Amino acid sequence: MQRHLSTFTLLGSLLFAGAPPGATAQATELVVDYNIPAAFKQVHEDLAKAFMARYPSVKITFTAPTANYEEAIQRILRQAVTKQLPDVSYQGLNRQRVLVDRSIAVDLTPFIAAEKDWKNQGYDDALLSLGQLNGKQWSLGFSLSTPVVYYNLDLVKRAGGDPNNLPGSWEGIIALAKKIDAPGGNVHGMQFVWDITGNWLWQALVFSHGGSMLTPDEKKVAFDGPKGQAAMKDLAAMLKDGGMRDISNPVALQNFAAGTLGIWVYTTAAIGAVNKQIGSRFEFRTGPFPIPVAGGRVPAGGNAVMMLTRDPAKQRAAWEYIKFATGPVGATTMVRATGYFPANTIPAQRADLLGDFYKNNPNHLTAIKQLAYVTGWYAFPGENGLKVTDVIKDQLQAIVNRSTTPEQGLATMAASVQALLPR
Amino acid sequence: MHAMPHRSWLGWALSAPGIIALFTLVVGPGLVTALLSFSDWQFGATSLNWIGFDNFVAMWHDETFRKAFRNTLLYICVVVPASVGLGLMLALLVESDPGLRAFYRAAFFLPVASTLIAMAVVWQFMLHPTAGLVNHVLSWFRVAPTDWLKNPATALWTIIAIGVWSKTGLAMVLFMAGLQSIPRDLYDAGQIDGIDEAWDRVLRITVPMLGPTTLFVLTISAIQAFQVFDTVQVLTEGGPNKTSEVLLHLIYSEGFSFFRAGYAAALTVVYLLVVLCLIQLQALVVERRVHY
Amino acid sequence: MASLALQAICKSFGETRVLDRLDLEVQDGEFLSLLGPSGCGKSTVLKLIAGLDHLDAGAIRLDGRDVARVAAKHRNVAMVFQSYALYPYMSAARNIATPLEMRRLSRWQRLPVIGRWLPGAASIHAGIDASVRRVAETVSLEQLLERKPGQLSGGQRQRVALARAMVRNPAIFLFDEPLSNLDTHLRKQVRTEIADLHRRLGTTFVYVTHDQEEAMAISDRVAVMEGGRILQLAAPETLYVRPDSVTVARFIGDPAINLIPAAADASGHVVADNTQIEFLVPGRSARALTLGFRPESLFPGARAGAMQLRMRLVSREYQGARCTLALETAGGSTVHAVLPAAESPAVKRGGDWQSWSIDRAQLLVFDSEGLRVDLASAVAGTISPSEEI
Repeated sequence: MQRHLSTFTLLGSLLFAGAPPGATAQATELVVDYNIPAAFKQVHEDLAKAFMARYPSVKITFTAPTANYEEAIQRILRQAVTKQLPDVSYQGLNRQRVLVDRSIAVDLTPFIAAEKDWKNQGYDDALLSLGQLNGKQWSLGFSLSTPVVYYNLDLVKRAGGDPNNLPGSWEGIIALAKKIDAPGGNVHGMQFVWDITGNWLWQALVFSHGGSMLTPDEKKVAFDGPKGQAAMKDLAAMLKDGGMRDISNPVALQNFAAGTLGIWVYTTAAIGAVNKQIGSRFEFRTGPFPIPVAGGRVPAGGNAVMMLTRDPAKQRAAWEYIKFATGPVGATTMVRATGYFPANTIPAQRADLLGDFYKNNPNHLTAIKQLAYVTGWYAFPGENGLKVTDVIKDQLQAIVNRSTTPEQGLATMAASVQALLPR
Repeated sequence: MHAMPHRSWLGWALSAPGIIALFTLVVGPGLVTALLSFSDWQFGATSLNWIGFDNFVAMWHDETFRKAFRNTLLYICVVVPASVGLGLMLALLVESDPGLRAFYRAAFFLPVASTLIAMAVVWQFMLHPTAGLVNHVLSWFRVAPTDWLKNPATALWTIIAIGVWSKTGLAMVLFMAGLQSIPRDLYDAGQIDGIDEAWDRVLRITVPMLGPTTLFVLTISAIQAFQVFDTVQVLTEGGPNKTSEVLLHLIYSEGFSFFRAGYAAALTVVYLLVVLCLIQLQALVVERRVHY
Repeated sequence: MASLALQAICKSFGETRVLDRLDLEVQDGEFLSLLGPSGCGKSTVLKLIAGLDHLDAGAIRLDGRDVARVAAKHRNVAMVFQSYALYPYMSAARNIATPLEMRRLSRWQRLPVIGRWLPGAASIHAGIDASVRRVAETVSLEQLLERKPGQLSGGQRQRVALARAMVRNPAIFLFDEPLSNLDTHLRKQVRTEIADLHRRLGTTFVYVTHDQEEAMAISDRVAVMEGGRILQLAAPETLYVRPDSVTVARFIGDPAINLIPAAADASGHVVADNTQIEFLVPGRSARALTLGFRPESLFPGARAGAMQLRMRLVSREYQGARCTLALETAGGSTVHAVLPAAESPAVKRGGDWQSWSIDRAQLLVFDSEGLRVDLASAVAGTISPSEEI
C-alpha cells in the first residue's frame, strides 16, 4: 500500500508539476478503526474531514466499523494474528488491558512527555488515569459515560415524591421506588441494569462504597469484603423492596420509555436515545449514582482511542489525530451527537463549544458533575480476565432471579473468581 | 504392466486438487486445533505454552461444560425425534390433500429457507415478556405470562421449541419427496392384499418405504441439531446462568468472548469426537436396517 | 373360480371419458385377454375389476353378485402387476404371506413384535408358513424365500408376485402386463408358465397386454380394445381370420395384414388395382373400400381359382424357415408376403412385374367405415357368405 501510494504521488507530481508543494507531502495514510456506528459514524467522518483539512499531509481511512466493544476487540486480536492491524483503534475502556497484555497497544507516555504545553490542553489527571495501566498511558478517553439514575417525574410525583428534591441515597431511591411500585398493575418501581457488559454497574456499586474488585497486588478477590457486602446489600434491597424484576435491559428501556418504569439506573450515554423515544410524553430527569461513603467512586464507561502503529512516521501523524479527536474540536462534535461526555475539560468551560449546551441540557450535566470521582472500568488480569466477567455475571443473574441469596451469591462469586485469577 | 507407474502418476495428479483442498481445509485446521488444545494459547497472543492435558482436566471439572453438554444432548434428544415425527405427520397430511400442497409446502419450508438468525429476531418479538404474541395468546388460556428466554425453567425449552419448529419443515419437505417416490402400484397391491386401512397402509407400506428417507432426515437433523448455535446466540447467549448453554455456543464464548483459545480448541476436539461417535453409531445401528 | 360380468361400466378421469358403457363377460375358468394400445382403457378395466378404482356407472358381477361397492380385499381377486409391486423391505416369504396375514390375523395380532405373542397368533402363523411353502414349491421358489426382492432377478420377482397372488386361492387372477419388464427370451418362458398355471388351477384369468402375439398365444378369448370400447371379443383364430374391422385386422398378426385401397364398380364388383375381383358388395353405398389379405395368403405366379395382381418384388428378408417379401402393387401400395424360404424368389435389379395370386378364401373387404363387408361371390366354387363363422 505504502509503495503503491508513493508511486501514485510520484506520478501525480509529474503530471501536476505546478501543484502546491503540500500535495506531494500527502504520503501518510492512517487506518482508523471505530465501533458502534449507530452512534459514532457521523462523528468520526466529520472529525476526519476536519482533521484532514488541518493536516493535508495525512489521509484518514476507516475500516468497516464494528458493532460493539466485544467485536471491536475480537477484530483487533484477529488482525494481530494476521498482521493487518489498523494504525489507530477505538476500544471500550475495559478492553484496553487485553491489548496492553498482548503488547499490541503502543505506550503514549513518551508522546505526552514530548508535548511542550500538555498541562494546558485540558487533559485532567483523573480522566487521564482511565487510560493508564502499570504506570503508563495507553490511551486517551474519547467518549465517556458514567452510571446515572433516570427518574420518570410523572411517576415520582404520583408517588408523592418531590421532583426538585430527588433522593441522593439508595435508601431514598428504594423507598421512592417502593411507593411507585405500590399501586401494582404494569407500573414498576425501579430497575438496576446489572447486566451491562463488563460488570459495569456491579463495579459501580462496589466502587461507590469505596471498594475494589481485587486487592492492590491483583492476587486476591476484594469485592467480598465489608465494602462489597455493603454493595450487595444495596442490590438485595432493590430486589426486595424496590420492585426490581428479572428482565433484560431492552425490556427495561421499553418500560421506561413507555412510562411504566419509575427509576432506571443506567448509563448517561442513553440520554440521547431516551429523549428521542419519550419525546414530550412525560418529563424525566437524571440524578447522580449514589455515593454512600466518602472516597467512593464510579467507573467510567465508553471509548478510548489507542495507537497501534509501530511506524515512527505514522506514529507522529497518529498522535496528532488522537489529540485532535480527544481535544476541544473532537469533544464538541462528539458530545453534540451523543449522550457521552468528553475526556477533555476545555469544551464545557467555553460557551462557544459546549458551555451553553450543558446549560440547556441539565440531564447531560449529571455525568459532568460526577467527573470529580470517576475511576477506571476495571479489567481483570490474566488469561481468564474476560471469563471472570462472565462468572460474575452468572452469579448476579442467580441473585437477581432469586435462585440464590445475595450473601450466598457473593460468596460463590468470590470463590469462582479467585479460582480464575493468575497465581 | 509398464504402463502402471505412469497411470499412478496420473492418478495422483488428478486427485491432487482434492487432496490439497482436503488437507488445507479439513485435515490441516483439524490438526492445528488438536495441537492448540494442548496449549494455553490466548486468542491474539504471540506466544503460547504447552500445558499437556490441563485443558481437558479443566473441562472435566468445568460445571459450564457439563451444563452445555447436557443441554446439547437434551436438545438433540427432543428436537430430532419431535421434528422428524412432526415432519412425517405433516407430510402425510399434506400429501393427502393435494389441493393445498403447494401452500403447505411453502409455509412449513419457510423457516428452513430463511436464515435462522432473522427468524430468531422474529421469535424475540413473539416471546417478548409484555408485548409478545406468545404470552398474549397464552393469557387467553389463563397461563401466567413469563419471560420465556430469561426464565431458567423455560429458556432451554423455548430454544428447543424453536428448534423443532425450524427443523420440522425440512423433515416434511424431504418426506414429501420420499412419499412421491413410493410407487402407486405398491398401494394398489396392498389394497388387494388387504392393507387397505389408513393405519395399516402407513405402518406396512409408507413407513418402511420411507426407510432410506428417514435415515437421511435423521442424520441431517441430528447433525443440524448438534450444531445449534444461532438461536442461542441471538436469543439467550446461553443464559440465564448457562441454563441454555450449548456446546457450540460455549466454544464460541470461550474462544471469541473470553479469548481462551486453547481451552476452546480442547472443547472443539471433544465436540468433533462426539460428532464422529454419533456418525459411527448411526452407521452401525440404523444403516443396516433400512437399506434393501 | 368364478364368472365375471361387466355391465355398461363407465369411468372418467376428470374430463376424459376412459370407458363408455363397456360390457364384457368372462366365463368361469376362462383365460381372457384385454388387448389394445396404451391408453385404450384396458388397465382401467382391470383396476375396476380389482376394486382399485371406483366405477362411475354400471355393474361388476362376480358369480352374479354386484361387487361394484365391495372393497378390493373382499372381492377374492388377485392381481399381478407390471412392476410386480413387491414390498422391497420384506423377504420373498413375507411378501407371499402378506395377503394371508392381513386376512387371518386380527388387528392386534398384526402388531409388530408383540402381535406374535398374542394368543392364537402362533398357530395362525404356522398355517400361513405352510401355505407359503406350498405355493413357493409350485413356482420353484423354495430356495429363494429368505431373499429380498432386490436380491432376485426379474423372472424370480415375477414368480414371487405370482405366488403372492396364488397363495389365497382367489376366484379370479388379474394380470397387468406382467411380462413387459422381462427380456424377450424370458418373456416367452414365463408366458408358457402362466398358461400352464391356468391349465393347472382352472381359475378365471383376466390378462392385460399390448402384445398381440402374447394375447393370441395364451388366451381362450381376446378382447381387442380401442378408445375405451371393445372392438371385438373372440377366440384368437377368429380375430385373425375374420376380424370385424380394419382396426382389429391391423392390430392382429405379424407381419401386419396387407391393405390396399379398392372400390366397388357400378355392378357392385370389387375393383382393386384395375382388377375386377369377382365379389359382389351388397348394397350400393359402399364405394370406397379396403381390401385386406394376410401375407401368407399371397403366392408367386398365377394359380387357378386365385385372384391375380401384377406386382414387383422390392425387398426380401431372410428369416431361416421363411422369408418376408415386400412387394409393390401396380396401384403403388406396398404389401408383404411370407413364404417358405425355399419357395421365395430372389430380388432382381429393376424388378419385373409378375403375376401374384391371392387365395380368394382369405380375402377380406372393409367398407369406408372400416367394417368388414360380407361378400357374395359371383363365381361358383368360391367361398359363400353363408359359410362365414
